[in-house]
Amino acid sequence: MSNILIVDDDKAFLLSLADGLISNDPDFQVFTAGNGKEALDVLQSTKIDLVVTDIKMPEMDGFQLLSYISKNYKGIPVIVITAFGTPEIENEIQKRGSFQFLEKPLDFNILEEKISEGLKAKLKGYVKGISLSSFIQVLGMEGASCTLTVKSKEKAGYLYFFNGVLIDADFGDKKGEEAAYDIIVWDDVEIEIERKSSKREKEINMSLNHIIMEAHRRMDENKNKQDDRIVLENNTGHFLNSQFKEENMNIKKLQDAIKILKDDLGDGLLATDVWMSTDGQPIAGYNSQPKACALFNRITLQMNRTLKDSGFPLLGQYYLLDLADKKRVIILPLGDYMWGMLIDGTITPLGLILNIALPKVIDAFESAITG
Amino acid sequence: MGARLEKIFSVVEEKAGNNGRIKLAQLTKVSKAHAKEMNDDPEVVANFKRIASEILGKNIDEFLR
Repeated sequence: MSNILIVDDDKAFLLSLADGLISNDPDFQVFTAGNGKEALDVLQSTKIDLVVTDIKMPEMDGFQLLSYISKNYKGIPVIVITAFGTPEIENEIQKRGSFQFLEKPLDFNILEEKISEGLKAKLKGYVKGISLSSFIQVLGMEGASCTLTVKSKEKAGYLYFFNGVLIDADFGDKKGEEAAYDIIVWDDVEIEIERKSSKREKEINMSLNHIIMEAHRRMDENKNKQDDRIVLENNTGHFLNSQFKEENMNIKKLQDAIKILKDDLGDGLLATDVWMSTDGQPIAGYNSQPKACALFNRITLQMNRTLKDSGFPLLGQYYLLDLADKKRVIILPLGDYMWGMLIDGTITPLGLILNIALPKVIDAFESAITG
Repeated sequence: MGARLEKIFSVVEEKAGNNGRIKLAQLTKVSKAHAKEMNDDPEVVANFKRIASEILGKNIDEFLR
């Protein structure tokens, strides 16, 4: 028995839909709600397997309901009753998203088909929360003005809509289109919706459809790059980015340099990476931490820019961050490259790193860069 | 053996850190360790000084006196 919740403020439509579904498939148990608020009561009191919802409703509309589901019921498939977007976007969203659109007036057979598909996907574990792409596509179609706060895995970003147009986005140091490209492809999102757009300056000049398509294209491109990274020695955690082709870099010698560091610091070396400062992508490392590479690349470039602008001397041999839990991060700017290492300070004394290990690895790196 | 080349490396390293040292090695295709072992051939020294001056944004002769 599957529990289906249908949410619509048109009572006659709601009842005919419920009757039709039950009579066509006795395995469906249908619950109804006249708006988002009533739907919450049902969700809180009953184990619902799938939600079918309209967008425009009094008290609490479909967006607010989707937002609530994104936070509290990540595994529930949702079918939204609204107008379709472009066929390209529809395909894109159906490929990736967890909810689908249906046009009013509803074709009952199609609705039933979509419900069956949604339930099957849930059973197979395909549904992983509300897809942000789908959500903002509906916002666009409905001409909504609002600010979305999007959270995913300790990240938070903001999307600003005015009359259904995405006008700006914020994520960390990024603004406008670049921030939107990042945010739109986050998965497992929690979406908070504030019904008025707090920013009205239009910073994004691309259409919402274009932004969604481009965001997914970039994500696919990055994923392909990640897939191409081969793990050379799984048991030791060493890796080398197979896409990295630098004429002047002797990769074998670079790996030797990493091995020298590992041999000198032993278990005190928790992770290390060498990356290009142009893109923050690691090219070789041990227990590689790509996110940390991107972060410290940004920090280091920003630090050097700020020092330069302030008339201070630039970074010299290295900089060191003493982190909580006696962890230490040491970053070495090395021309077009950077070398970062995470050290367990309870195991490895600073003197050993600075006076013994670093001079050796810099020599070894220099040897690698000169071929 | 390579005293002048080694001195150029040392000055660049002192004034521009590892960044400078690695850039110098990258552009000359010579490591500091190797530079110590090379002869101070006038042409090679001139090339090193030109590249080092570019890296430092100043004529390296100011620091070699």
